[in-house]
Amino acid sequence: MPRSGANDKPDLGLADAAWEQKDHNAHGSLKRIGSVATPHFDESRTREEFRVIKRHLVSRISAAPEYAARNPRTILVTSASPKEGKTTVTLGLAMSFMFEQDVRVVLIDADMRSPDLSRRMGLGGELGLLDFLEGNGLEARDIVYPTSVKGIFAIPAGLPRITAPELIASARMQQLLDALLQGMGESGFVVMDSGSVLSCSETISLASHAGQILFVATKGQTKRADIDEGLGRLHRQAGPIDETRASMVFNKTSRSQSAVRYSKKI
Amino acid sequence: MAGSIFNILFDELQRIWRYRWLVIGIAALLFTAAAAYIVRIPNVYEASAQLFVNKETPVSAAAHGVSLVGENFGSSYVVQKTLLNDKNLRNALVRLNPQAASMDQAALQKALAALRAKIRIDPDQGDGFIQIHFQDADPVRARDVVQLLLDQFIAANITRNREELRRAGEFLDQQIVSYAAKSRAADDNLMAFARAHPRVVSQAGPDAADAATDVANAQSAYSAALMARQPTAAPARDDSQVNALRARIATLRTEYTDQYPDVVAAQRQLTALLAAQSAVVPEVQQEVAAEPTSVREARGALAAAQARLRQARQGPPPSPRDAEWADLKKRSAILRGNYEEMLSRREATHLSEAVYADKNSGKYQVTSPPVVPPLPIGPNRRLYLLLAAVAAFGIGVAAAYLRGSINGIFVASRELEEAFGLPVAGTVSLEKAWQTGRLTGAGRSLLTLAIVITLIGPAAILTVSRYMAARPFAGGDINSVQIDLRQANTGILPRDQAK
Repeated sequence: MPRSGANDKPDLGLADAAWEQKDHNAHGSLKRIGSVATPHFDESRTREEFRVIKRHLVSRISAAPEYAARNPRTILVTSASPKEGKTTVTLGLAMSFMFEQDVRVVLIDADMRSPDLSRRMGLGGELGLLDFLEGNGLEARDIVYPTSVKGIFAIPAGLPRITAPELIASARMQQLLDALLQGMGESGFVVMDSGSVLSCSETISLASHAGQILFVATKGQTKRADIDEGLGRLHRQAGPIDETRASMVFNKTSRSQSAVRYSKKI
Repeated sequence: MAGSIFNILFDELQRIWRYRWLVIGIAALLFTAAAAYIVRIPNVYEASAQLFVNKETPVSAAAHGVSLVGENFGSSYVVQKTLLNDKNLRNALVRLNPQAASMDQAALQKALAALRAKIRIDPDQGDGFIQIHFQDADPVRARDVVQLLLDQFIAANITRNREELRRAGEFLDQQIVSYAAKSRAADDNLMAFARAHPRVVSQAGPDAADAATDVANAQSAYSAALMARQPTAAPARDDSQVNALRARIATLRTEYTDQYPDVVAAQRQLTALLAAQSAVVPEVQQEVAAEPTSVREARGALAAAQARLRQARQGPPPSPRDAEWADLKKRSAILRGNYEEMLSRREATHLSEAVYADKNSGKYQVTSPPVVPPLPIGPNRRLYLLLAAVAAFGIGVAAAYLRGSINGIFVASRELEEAFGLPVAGTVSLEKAWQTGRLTGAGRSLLTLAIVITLIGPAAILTVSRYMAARPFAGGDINSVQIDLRQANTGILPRDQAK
């Protein structure tokens, strides 16, 4: 399947004008502006660490064939088990994209079991992904929330539903992703914060849409058997998992293990 | 290479550090348990006594050469080898614990081994002193065991000596009776033969064998007389040549008379040699010429014996009657000699009993009675506690390492790459302020520490207090305790008698 083009997909209400960080939706109601809270992100080391991850992803985009099955700008952040730091990595990655010129990033909180991203951005309880996927007359722009950071938008998880896995696996999810990418153009990225592979079945569905998968493993915590099983599930149910599509992030390491050896607070 | 080893070590240390609270918890629990056990180990006291094995008592010296018992009888070597034999230990064990008498063989051997393990003997260094040590948690018991061993050993040795000598005496008595009967029978046979064959008895010539024996005895006596004749202080001028000639002359005279040519020639050579030594010629001549009476008598006896031997050899062969008469005489003489030998040995046995089977013989002397120092010799609780701490920490580390290995956690990004073949896009350092849990890392550490202290604190305080409360044994009391071992009929010695 060729990569989604800019002209053959519906925009779902995400015309260029929608990316202006408006405070009101199409019905005129006030949108709550989310905030991106990443403590100590001013630490130069942390910035550099996320820059390294970002460069890795961008290089993959450049190296990907034009007609790849999945758009490499769609990035899924997941892990084998909960509490590995997926949301933190998602936020850090988004903040790293902030420094890029004319880049738009949409953060999707797809962790239906523990929607930490929505909560940390102050969008808990707002209409979000599940509401859109269920229909209800919502358009995509109704669930895309501007944030306090320029160029970064957020889609909260929405009100919880028991049918969340099926909704995420529906074709409307793919349409949403295509619309987001089409709306943002070549400078846009979609970063999805999902649940852990071994605890959330919808993560497999999300992975089937993702062009790149960041698999987070925590130092001294994640067990080898869990990673083995998680990668195995993704490989069997969400397409091949190889080095061109999946990469790992080693989280909560000590500073001595950081790829960034020299840094200072600025 | 060194860098990779360092990396591996660093990774393993991180793996263990990940479970540091497991290490602390296990180490604390194990150390507390070990400390409680160590404190409960009873004090060990060591009783010592010194035994002197007298190699030669005055009595044994007086009986030297007469007693049947040799010098090594009951030596310190024998003491060291026999003090801890099963018999002695069993007797001591039964005295300490009468129930041991009804133990089966396996239990008895086990009890003996346990008792033997507590006994140490400092061997004799050549001076005859042997030290016996016994360690026990009960100082009274320790002292009494040493005393028991000493008593047991001395009594057993004396009893054994007495028994052996008694058996020897019985054997000799039997042999004496037997030989007396045989000797009387031989004498009777001899007298009967003499009455039946008086002519054979009266005409019996000298027996060749007897004559040869007489010649040998006479030669020995003559040589002894010659040796006794020589001056005790040899003059400085006597050289080896003179002595050799004198020895040759003496030898020749045992076989021949002074008129034998060889004797005459030898004497001439000696005279010439002595004459050459002008300063001593008169003296030597006088010495050679003046023979003592004893030498002359011995030479005469030798000549007579040699004449009888020649007569016996030149005479007609003995008749059967003569041979029978000679056999009867010889048998009678042999039996009489054996009988007299048995009598002398019986007397020696009586003397040996007096020397070695008497408990007051002085062979074994307790030079230092059993004493117990007031301070215990063990256990070394400080050392044990140190070892327990090291062992507990080591086990904790091992448990942490084992848990890390079983869980298969990762402590380095290169481990991730090697394990799954996927690239590691990057690492993210831990920023404590990012932690969104209810408790931060420091909070969790403090909570864990509080739990550990709560768990082991009382036990540690109890351990230390009990250790500090340990009092040394009051030696003055034990040394004043009088214990009658004959009343020890309730197993353990009567500690309740201690005042």
